[in-house]
Amino acid sequence: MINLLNGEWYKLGKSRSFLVCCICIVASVCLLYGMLFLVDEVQKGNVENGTAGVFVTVDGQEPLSGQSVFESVTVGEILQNIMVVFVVLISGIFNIIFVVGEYGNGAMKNLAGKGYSRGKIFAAKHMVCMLTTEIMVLLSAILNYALGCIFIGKACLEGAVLKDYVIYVLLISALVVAINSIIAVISEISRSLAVGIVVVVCVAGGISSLLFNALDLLLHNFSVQPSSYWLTNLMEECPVSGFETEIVLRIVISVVVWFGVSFAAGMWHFHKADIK
Amino acid sequence: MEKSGITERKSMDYILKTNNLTKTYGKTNAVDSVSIHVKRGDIYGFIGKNGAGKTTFMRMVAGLAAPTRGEIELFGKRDLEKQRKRIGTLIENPGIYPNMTAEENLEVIRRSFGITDKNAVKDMLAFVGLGDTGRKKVKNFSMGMKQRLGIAISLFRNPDFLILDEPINGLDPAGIKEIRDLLLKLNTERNITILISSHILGELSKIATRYGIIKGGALIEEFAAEELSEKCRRCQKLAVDNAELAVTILEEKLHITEYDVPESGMLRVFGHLDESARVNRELITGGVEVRESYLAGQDLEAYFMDLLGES
Repeated sequence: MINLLNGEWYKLGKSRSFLVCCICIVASVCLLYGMLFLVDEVQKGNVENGTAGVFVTVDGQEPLSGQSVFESVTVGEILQNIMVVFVVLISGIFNIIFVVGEYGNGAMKNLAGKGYSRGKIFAAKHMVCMLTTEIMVLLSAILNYALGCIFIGKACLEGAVLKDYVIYVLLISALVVAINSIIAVISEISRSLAVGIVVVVCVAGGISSLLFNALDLLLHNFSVQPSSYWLTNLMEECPVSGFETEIVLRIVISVVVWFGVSFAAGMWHFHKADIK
Repeated sequence: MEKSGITERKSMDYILKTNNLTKTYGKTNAVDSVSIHVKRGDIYGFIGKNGAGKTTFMRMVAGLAAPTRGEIELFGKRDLEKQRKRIGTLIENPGIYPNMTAEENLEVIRRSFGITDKNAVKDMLAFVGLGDTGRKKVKNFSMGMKQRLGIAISLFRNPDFLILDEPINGLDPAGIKEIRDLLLKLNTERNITILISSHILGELSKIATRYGIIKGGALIEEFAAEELSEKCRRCQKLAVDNAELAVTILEEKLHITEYDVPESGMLRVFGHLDESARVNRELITGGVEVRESYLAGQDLEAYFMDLLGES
């Protein structure tokens, strides 16, 4: 198993798509801060709203003049936007490429049927997928915190803020990993880039949330609300401070169940599937 | 104890034995009850048309597809997961990462299988003639180079048995010769048993020591290279009314000893083919009714085509 992980890790180090995805995450975080900086300039009155045809609105209203944007947001709230909008999408796409690519170039044949059990091969590949997801989450969290310290200032350095930030990163990374576990398994089963991308778009684009809302309607007579256990809904619902036991428990249960189910389904499929 | 030892030895003489191996997709038998015997040291040519079931069969042996029915025995044993460590495979296209160099591709394999000798990568590349590819990405390799890299990957763990599916497909004549020489070298110098499928029958006949012919998923014939040569040998075929008398005439009057009687009323005379008219004359003079007399013999390709129903 360690040898398999060693091989996968080496591959990851040589993977251009992994590098590109990491660069995309860095660029996305910087872009978000760039946007906030521009809004801040408008709010401070340094730049007139509507310059070059660009209008800045906050909740549909003209931004309050004189107040800095960075005084009204926390580093956790900015990270929440980064996670929901960028990290799920980018890490999901990377995992599709990583998993489907193995079948596309036939490299899976170099491992399967060569003395390793199918279970070990699947587990190693899945673990590396989850590890890359974690790397991307941590990359965005650390960069966001560093930029937050620059733009927001001292507020980020307070002990309570840092503690909340760390808890939030832990919770959100667990959710992103569980989502990527589902994406990786669907990619493994379908072995198709197109299917994988559609799934990522459905997840990141909120279509999955709509489906779960429909499920809520169907099951309303049974007092069951599946949408409260769906991962993307939980990502949006997850607080950035003041963590209540109920939501934390719901997140932990959902992560364990979704990750466990997707891992078991992937393992079962990989065991019986023919390798091409 | 001695008896069990003998049984073990006999069983070990076969690197691969299958018993009624079958793979079914829906209602179609892609491989239908194939019982194959690959002996230690063989270069086993596996021949069949496209879609005959060669690749599916090889994929089952390699552990890439599960059989629907039947048994596989590798190195005389049935614990396939363990025995497959001793197999190298190149099935369909080589499994390579196009954005990596040849060295990096082999490094992935080295690490994945925990091979501690770091020089093994360079040694293997030199062995297959890719030692000077440097930083060139595999996507820029020629077809022949990719095939050689695929063979390097399959050889990397020093297998005792190599399964190669169409390894010379798409290669130019020089590339084909390179691969052929490499396979002969592996077979003679490293004593690696090889199961190889190919459409290029002429090429296959230059290296194979044993053949299996598969048609419509079923193995229709299995024979040694010597048997094939015998089957394809040129001869004068004679249909006669009295084979016994004909044989006496051949031996006593014509002093021909190289002949056989494959079936009643049929004679095959090998050698003296330039004297076929004299043979006819002497038989008729001796009182034998010669109903048919013709020169026969095929090249390997024609023989295979006959078997596959393509002639």
